[in-house]
Amino acid sequence: MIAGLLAAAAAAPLQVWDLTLDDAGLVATGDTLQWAWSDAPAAGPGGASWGTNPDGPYLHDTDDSLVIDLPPLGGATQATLLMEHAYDIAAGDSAQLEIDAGAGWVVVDPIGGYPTAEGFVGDSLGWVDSAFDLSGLGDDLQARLRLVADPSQAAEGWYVRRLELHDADVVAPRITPLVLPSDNQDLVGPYRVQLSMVDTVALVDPTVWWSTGGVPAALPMQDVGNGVYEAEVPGQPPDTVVSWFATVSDTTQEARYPEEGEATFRVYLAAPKGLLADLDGARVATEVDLSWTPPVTPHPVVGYELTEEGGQVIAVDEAATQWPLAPGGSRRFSVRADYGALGQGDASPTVQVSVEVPELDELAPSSVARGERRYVLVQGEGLYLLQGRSTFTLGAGVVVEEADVVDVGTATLRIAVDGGAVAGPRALVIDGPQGVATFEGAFEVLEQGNTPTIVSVAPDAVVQGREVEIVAMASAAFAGPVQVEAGDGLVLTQPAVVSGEEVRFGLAARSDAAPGPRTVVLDDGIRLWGVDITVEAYRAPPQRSCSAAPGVVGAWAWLGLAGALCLRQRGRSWLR
Amino acid sequence: MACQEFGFNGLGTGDPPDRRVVVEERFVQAPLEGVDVLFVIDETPSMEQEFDALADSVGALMAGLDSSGLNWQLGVVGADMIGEDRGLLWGVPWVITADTPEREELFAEMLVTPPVPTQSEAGLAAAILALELATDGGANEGFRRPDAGLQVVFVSDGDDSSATLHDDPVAAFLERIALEEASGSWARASALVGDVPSGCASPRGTAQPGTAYVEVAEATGGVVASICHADFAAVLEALSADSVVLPVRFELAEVPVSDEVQVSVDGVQATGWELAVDPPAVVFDTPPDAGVSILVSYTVATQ
Repeated sequence: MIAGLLAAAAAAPLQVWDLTLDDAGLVATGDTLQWAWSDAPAAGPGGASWGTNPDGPYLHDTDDSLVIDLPPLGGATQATLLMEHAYDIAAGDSAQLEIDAGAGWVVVDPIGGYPTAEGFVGDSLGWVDSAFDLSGLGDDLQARLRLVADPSQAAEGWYVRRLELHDADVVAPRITPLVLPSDNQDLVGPYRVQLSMVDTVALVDPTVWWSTGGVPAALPMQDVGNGVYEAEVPGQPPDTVVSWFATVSDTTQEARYPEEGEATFRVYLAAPKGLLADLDGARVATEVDLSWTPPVTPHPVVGYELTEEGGQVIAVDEAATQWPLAPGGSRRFSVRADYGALGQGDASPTVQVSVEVPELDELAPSSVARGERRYVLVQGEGLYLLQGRSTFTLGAGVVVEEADVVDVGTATLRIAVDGGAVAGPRALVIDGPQGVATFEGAFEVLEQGNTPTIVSVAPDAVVQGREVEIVAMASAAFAGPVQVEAGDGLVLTQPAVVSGEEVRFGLAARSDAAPGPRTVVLDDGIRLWGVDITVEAYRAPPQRSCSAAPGVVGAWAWLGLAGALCLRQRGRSWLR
Repeated sequence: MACQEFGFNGLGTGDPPDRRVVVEERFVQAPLEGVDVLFVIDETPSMEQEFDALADSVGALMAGLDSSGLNWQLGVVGADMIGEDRGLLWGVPWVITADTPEREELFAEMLVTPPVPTQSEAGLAAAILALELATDGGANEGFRRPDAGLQVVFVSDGDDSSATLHDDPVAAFLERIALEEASGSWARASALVGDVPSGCASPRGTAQPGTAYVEVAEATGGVVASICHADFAAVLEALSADSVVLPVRFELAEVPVSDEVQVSVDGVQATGWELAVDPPAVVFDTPPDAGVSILVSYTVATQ
């Protein structure tokens, strides 16, 4: 069945040649007689049919025809020959239908024309239908499928598997696109649709149906002559997709363009091009340079709108900007042009930035009182901390005494907050191998509060060259095992033993330790406690200056003399 | 006698006597804390199935390092020495730590063969370059920590082909390892490669013998395992165990009088140690077992 052409079965055909069953009496003629019927041709699209050299490519440098005897058509008013065929014919050859009505062979064009001037040349890519108007040709008729091949290379050939002859309007109008609207930036319109609509009979109601999402509106097409029809879709706002299709009837058959579905075009305002993200080779960054090329558009651009997918949007005037990267952002950027009163243009293709953004997960504790010395944990991502290369600052009055980097994301800082440090929030600044990261407001200096302190020390002095056991009491329990930093001239002889608020440790003063006040530092892993100790100068022990008591009176006399001398000695000392 | 308390000479300021005090220091034996693990991955197309097996098993390595109490860092570099990214650690972030969120998934995401297939398998050269880039100013800076050990793990179903980049790739790599040891605490290489000398086959495919990789692993005392091994998890567990290194050196806070030092381990007098002078330290011949308590008693001159 030639389904593609017979939209509705009219009257019964005058004759049918079903060439899938047998050769139907058709006759091969010509130079090489290469037309042949085969039930299993080796070439062509396959299946029983007539074909040119069914064993392989058609023969070249030859002129061959397949002749069909037609019934008398003198009484027919709309004689139409339908043909189901396939062709693969090389350029330079020709393949056409010819009719001999008594005055010699004449080429007949199919309705809608041949694909080339030489007829069915090219590749049909399988079985296709063609229709020929044979009206008014008389009664003594023959038709032939003529293949004229030049000496150059041949192709698969020409195959036919069904012919039908009708006396009725069995062919729907044929629509060929001439001018179709495409995507455009014309906000005024109209958008012209121009189609070729041909048939063997008069056409009625050529119409374009269009919509932007709702029920299609009808737009009658104007006949501009020579089978050409036009319609104009009105102008649309930007970012509008217009869907349309065309229909036409010849009263018995209808045709549609496109045959299925709808054609579309889009009215838009152009997007900027070539969006680039430049990190200057950095693998960790807090900002990225974005630049792009202005859109190609007839409309004035007043600015741009940059968007990070799932994140913030910023407006800029120029075609470049520096974008602050945020932790957790998608790092997928696009830009669109601002066309002022016309609205926003299309978004550019997205550009993905592969970079890490420093992120502070934890600063613990994040507030420390003035006068306190303690440890602070820094933990985050994208920090790339490195011992000896990363420095940490917390602003004036806060000294980072030590930084112990555990890994790229973790460090412990030992800080001392000066008693005169300005209270309030401040930034943590980390300067490391992958750049500088600033975390505003991450840290706070508190007014002096209830900072735990050492409340008693016994003994609070150690003599040069002597060893003592120190017992210190704190106002709060120690957080854990205590490490003792004895300091210059002092030796820790016994590790600290902690019991709640009490700590004991052995301490000796070197013989050459400078006399005077010292602060021994107790480190419980959280806080640093100062224990005030005095190193006292060695004084030679008292020596016996008499071997026997001179009696009670004598004893009081000695006592008075010794007291006087003692006061004198101290007085000298005080005067020095 | 009472008059002793009031002797005139008792108020003098003579030099303190030469006294000595005994200092006790305690240590608990624990593994050296840091290890940086560098995976050097053959990224040729034949490795895709090994990638899946490695990604499925890396959790065993991470769990092993966690349970050993190590501070670990892990990076991955491709063995391709042709592309623009040669020597650069893969991924974002490009250093995974114990605290990295979704660390196993991140590792798996790194293991993707490049869109343009490579045939370059210069693992030794890639490892050298990656470690060079981890020094001052390099793109991988942050991966190598000053006092951390280094475990380089080669994963390949072929042999090294760095000969166009180094005259003697094995020697060049061992030289790099020596440099790392000099600036860190220890360094070694391990090889998860095709069996030497005949290669191997598994359901994941075939592998050529990884001769050069095995040579550097054996030279540095690392682990050698077959890439055709059915259970990568067991291999990676062995790698984590290999990354646990116990110290032999225990530095003292004061300078002891050398003939008055006593060392006990879990309360038992210890032998097999010597006293280092500068800085003062007790150095054992073999590392004491993990978890033992080491007590060093020594005399310090106060003058």
